[in-house]
Amino acid sequence: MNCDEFRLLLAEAWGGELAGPARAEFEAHRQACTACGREYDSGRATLDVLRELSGPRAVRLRREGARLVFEDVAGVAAPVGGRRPRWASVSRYAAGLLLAFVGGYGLHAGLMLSSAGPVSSAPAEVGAAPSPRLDATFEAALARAHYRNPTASGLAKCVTALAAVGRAGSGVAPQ
Amino acid sequence: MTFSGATSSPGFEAYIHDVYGWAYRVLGHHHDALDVVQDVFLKWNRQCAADLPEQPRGWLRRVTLNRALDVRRAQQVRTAAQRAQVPTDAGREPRLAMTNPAEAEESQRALRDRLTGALAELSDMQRSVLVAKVYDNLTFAELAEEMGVAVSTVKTHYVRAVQAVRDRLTTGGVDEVLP
Ligand SMILES: [Zn+2]
Repeated sequence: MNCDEFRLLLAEAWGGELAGPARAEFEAHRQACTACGREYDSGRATLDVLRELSGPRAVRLRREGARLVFEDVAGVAAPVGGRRPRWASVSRYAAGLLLAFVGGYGLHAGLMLSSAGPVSSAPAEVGAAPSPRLDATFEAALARAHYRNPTASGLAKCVTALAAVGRAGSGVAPQ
Repeated sequence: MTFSGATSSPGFEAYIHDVYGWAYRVLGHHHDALDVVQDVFLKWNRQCAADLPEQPRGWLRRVTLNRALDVRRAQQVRTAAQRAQVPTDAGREPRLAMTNPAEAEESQRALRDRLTGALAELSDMQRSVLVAKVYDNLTFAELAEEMGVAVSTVKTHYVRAVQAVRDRLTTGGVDEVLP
């Protein structure tokens, strides 16, 4: 596999859809080619940062007359280092926010929407196996970020590490 | 996702949790996300009550993300205006080298601004593909079907979106918020 062929598989690799012989070839090139390895690592780290923007774990919706009632089921997952919404700290179940929808459009009485919600259950990346290069660079950068600023949020440390990986990756010629 | 009760037609309520989740990712705040849900619901009723989009979920994702980013921009403008009225160094860029929770929260907000700023600069298609892949865990094939385009097109948008967000995070001032 050469660098051009590697780049054609980046979508599948970042998207957790790379499998079979292509995955093995991709992995081999990633290990061998510094530029491609950094390209993959920086993209994966970017996706990790995006996943840090976690959403609520579960919200239950029901209709009360012409209104919608949201209830926090498992507690809103506040953004890393962020605050919980004020209402959620009052009462997990009783303090749902009421939304009065104009006109009371077609919502069915008794509708109950229950879901695991948009949990950031990130699919495994390339082969679900942790990237050795990522272990060696991005995670080391993460550790340094933590050492420098232990009180910073996880997201902040992630961005710091990502920037460090990006800076280290500049100026490297592809194989 | 499970339903109970009457669900005789696939109306807005079938997607409302998704709408809330997409809005929350951008805004990071429960109440703001609910406001967006309401806005999108009204838009849905204006535009889709008689003529349901061919791909309702894709339509809703795009509309919700755009609306949430509009709200985010408006918040940022208000925040900037408030800062401009405060003397001393309150208007400086926040840094990660903070020692108290208030500064940590400010830094978190700045980082979310940077991420949402990066999302805002993507095309509708790139943004939808990235969000659907990262937060909805759809496959490229599912996304291609939802968007009515080729799988290769979806993959191209995904790669460009990841690269654009990465470039936004690693260049163009990320050092301003780094220690
Ligand atoms: Zn290469």
